[in-house]
Amino acid sequence: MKHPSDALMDIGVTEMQRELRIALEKGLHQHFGDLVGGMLGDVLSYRERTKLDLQRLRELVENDAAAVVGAIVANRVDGALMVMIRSQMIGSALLGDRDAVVRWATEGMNRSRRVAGPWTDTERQWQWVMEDPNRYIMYARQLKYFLNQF
Amino acid sequence: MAKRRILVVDDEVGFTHLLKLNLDKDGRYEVRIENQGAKAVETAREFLPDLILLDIIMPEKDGGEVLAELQQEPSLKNVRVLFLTATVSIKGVEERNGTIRGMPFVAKPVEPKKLIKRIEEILNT
Repeated sequence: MKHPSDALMDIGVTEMQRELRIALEKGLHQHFGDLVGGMLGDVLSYRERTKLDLQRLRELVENDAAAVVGAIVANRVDGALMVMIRSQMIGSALLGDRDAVVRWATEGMNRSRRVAGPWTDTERQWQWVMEDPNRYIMYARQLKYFLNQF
Repeated sequence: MAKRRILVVDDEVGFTHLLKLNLDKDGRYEVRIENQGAKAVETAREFLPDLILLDIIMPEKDGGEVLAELQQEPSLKNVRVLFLTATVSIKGVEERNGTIRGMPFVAKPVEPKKLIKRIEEILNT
């Protein structure tokens, strides 16, 4: 079954695609500001690991989920765990799994209040995703769509 | 024979209610529910369970934090813990032989028969 955002991809040039295309040319931070630009920049970084292969992506999300759970069992609250949670949120967005995106964003936000270091400043980022998870999924998948062109 | 005491710690109220119904139906267990991770240790101290079914991701206090606190309590440090997770799939847990980082795990949604089998394995080791 197609994900709702696939319909946009089928249409071709959409408002969101146009916006992202301009943003990629200008720079994500410059176009969207630091908060959203940073969030979408992380999607670009995630591409390096997945090579955008959906089967590989599913396996990666599944394996990383076990790694996150293992870290929580070990009672770790650190930057490495936050990176894993952010990765899970991106992977889930690319797969179009809204529930998982919300779950990881919630977990990231809760932990951002407790973790030391630069992740303490990310609460607003997680909130941005939770405010409209579909918007985040659409952006992430559109970026993936663009990256697949190269 | 005395019933084995099981404490279920999970923030999903509907899930814990259903789980309790299934475990009660089996007849071998006395089941207590705690829906707040932050109160898990306090409830365990009072209930003194033989086994805790412990959800891994909960608001306020997660399963890892609860486990760490249990291990600090002289009366609870040896209580057996079986983790519950909705984060890793059933297949993912099975591929890891039901353990993650050396701890026993069951993926949600749980199948009552399989869960009871796992509970018995843990209680009898």
